[in-house]
Amino acid sequence: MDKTNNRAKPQINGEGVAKAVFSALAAFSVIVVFGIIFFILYASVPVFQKVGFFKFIFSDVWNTDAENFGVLPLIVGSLCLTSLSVLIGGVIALFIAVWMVYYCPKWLKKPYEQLINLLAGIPSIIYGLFGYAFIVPAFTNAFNLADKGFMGTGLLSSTIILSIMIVPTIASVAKNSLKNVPSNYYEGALALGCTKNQAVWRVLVPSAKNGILAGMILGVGRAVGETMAVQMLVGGANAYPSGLFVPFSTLTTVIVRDMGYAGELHTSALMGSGFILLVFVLILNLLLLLTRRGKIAGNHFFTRRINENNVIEGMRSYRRAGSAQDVLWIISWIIAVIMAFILAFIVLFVLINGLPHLNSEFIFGESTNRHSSLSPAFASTAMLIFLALAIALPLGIGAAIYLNEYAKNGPFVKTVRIFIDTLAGIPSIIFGLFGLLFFVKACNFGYSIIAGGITLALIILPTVIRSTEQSLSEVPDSMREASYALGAGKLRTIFKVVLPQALSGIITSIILSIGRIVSESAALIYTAGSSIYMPTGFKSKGSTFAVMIYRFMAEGTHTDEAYATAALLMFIVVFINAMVTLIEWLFKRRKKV
Amino acid sequence: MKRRILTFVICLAIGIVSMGAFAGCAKDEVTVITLSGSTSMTDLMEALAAEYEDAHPEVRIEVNQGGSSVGISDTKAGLNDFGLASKAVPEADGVKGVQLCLDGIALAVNKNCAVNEVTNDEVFDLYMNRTPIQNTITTAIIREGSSGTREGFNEKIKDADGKDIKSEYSNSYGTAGWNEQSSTGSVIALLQSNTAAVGYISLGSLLANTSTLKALKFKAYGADEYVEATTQNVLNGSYQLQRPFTIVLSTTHELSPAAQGFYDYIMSEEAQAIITKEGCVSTYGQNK
Repeated sequence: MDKTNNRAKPQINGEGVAKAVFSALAAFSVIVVFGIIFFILYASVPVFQKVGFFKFIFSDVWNTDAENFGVLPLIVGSLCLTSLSVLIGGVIALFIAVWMVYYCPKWLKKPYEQLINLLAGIPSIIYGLFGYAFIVPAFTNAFNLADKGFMGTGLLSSTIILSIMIVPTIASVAKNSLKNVPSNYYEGALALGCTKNQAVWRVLVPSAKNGILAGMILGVGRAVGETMAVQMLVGGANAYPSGLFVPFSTLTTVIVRDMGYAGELHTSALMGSGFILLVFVLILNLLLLLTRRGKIAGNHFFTRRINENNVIEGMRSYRRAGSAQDVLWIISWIIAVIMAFILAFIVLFVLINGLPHLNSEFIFGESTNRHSSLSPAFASTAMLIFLALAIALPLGIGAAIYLNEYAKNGPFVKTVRIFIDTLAGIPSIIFGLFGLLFFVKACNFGYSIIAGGITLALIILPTVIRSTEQSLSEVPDSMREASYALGAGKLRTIFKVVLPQALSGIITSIILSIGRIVSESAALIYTAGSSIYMPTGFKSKGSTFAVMIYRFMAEGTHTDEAYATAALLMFIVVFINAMVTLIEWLFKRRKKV
Repeated sequence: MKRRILTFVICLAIGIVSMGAFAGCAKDEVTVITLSGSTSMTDLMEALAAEYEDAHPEVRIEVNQGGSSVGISDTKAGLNDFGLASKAVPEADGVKGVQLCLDGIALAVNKNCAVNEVTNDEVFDLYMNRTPIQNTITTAIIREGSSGTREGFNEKIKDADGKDIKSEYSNSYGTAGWNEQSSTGSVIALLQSNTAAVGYISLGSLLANTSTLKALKFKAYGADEYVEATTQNVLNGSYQLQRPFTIVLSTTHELSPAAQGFYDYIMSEEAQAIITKEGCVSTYGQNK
């Protein structure tokens, strides 16, 4: 930073200070990522020392009374669950992406996109509730598991839920990279005599290979860090997933299972499990970085392939393969329709089970030990949103301003971008552990809305930065130049000219963040605690709707309340999704005028 | 038009946010009593708390779950007003236990399960060696390591030489790989959907769910007859799967006045009706 100051020599005025502040805000993401890595590593050191690092990783004995901790079964569990889910979810997502880009009738495109967005917006705790209340009993009956000594929990049910959950993540990335394939590829293929299906499956999909791969890696990241949806479905035994219905645990579910009562070394072992997860996620982020290198949908790869092949040979194989591509076309239709049905089923299942129990007494009544109500959840959620936005908006907008208005493409900016992406890829359970270690314990906030709100601010920070930066970059340079020409300084230009134009991105990011906060549960359990009472201030505990669902589910005897809360949460999520669409539509219209 | 919608959206956003800010200023003249520990005791304590709160609107009682060992460790660390443990707590390390009442540990199965009575050996073989009980019950559901119910169960179930699971097998079921649940409620939920599984839960919780679950008659190690899991049999000692519900107090700190008030209430004669109603076994007049 000294260097830049020297170059711009005379300024120690407002402009210089502002630049320093903005770059500091941008660098904040780097600090957060390192902070998270450091704290979780620090907290897992005791178990590495006492048990031994290699014994911790390669032993399969987990006995809390004997203080033996080995996470090998958990690692195997996480890997099996993740790879199966990404395999299934990835294939489904690929078909859906292809279908949405090439086969979807025009009038259906927007609604279907909404549907996939909704699938992404459903809180993971609701997926968990659905799996636990529908899939587990359904499997028990369907496969007659009771006689075989199983419960319906295990690899199969958790894989199914997880595959559904990661479809939107993979599909949206794959869709974008399919859209980016130059249209002359398609036209060229048609001109060579391909049918539409042949062109799509033999030319366009291979060209989007890199993007699809990136989507898969994102999906792996999402799947390996998923906690709340699978924690009731895996069965929770300390064992290898040696069969489809054998109860097992993963790196994340063991944390939820044991953290509530863990003693000192046990807590450290759970942190160690979180640390291993974090290492996985960091490796995935590196892989993602590598795939992003070849930025435009891998077209150099495709050209090389054309040159290598004998054209006539290739043509003939296209023709002969025609029927195969037609089958793929039919499959993609089937999968797209099935996915719509699955979503409708989940939504209806929750609503049908929840709405009858949703009365005004339960929503607005006073919450006591006699019957807990949801009114504290309204207040806690609002307080958490307020706090998280109050922290994340200035930080995020400042960082976005730096990245878009000040930064030149140097190593500092590259690093910052990498770290923002990394932050976005860290699973919420890790944020939860970090919040527990840093805000709850080190800062001595206790389980409180403050601790929860700050943790949430870190979670939504990447969304705010990206969304703001995106809309800042869409502001035409001519506006900035006009402002300078009228004599305005850089700072004035940013705040008076550029930011108002970028309002759409900021508002979208606010609503997306609210959606994220409303559906968050894993990070909040360890930071904001859980309580049935109305919060009395930012220092008291508070449960959001998602945490309330978890609470009701864990108590087991309050399933009706869990459904009712889930139904209400579902309405909120639909409302938030509608808001995002509305705002995007509004600003698009304004831009056209 | 679009401007109006935009204004509406912004107003809404500001509304939500300021609601959050103001919600922070809600009433705060109430005193909070925090209890934590055994999940088996949650229902009982919530019922007692509800009754007490009716008479004392200035008091709020928070019952946090976690398991019996959390109840003890939280009390040691001063994180609660008093702890809850579903096992006997000897006086040590700055805490002491006072018995609130007795509770049976029911071997709960689905109401449609064909099995009605089990012996100690059958239960031991199922839990440790996966040997089905009467070729019908093939699965067991266990609780997490901090559970007082798990400890109580493991103390009472013995192998052929009369050695119990807790002391002889370090409180664990070896490599049997059972479904592990961290609350009484989630065990109940699983049992409701499976007719070939057994789980150990508090008798009080079982009695609250008799429409879907039933308790097995149990023949203890060395005993000669099957005994039904009822509160009378717990009280007269013939049903051996039982343990005390214990209030964990710190020996170094006095209870706060509010907590003392609630403590006095739950130990009073007045509270016994609720204890009995919740399916627990009142021992009023025998302890203290």
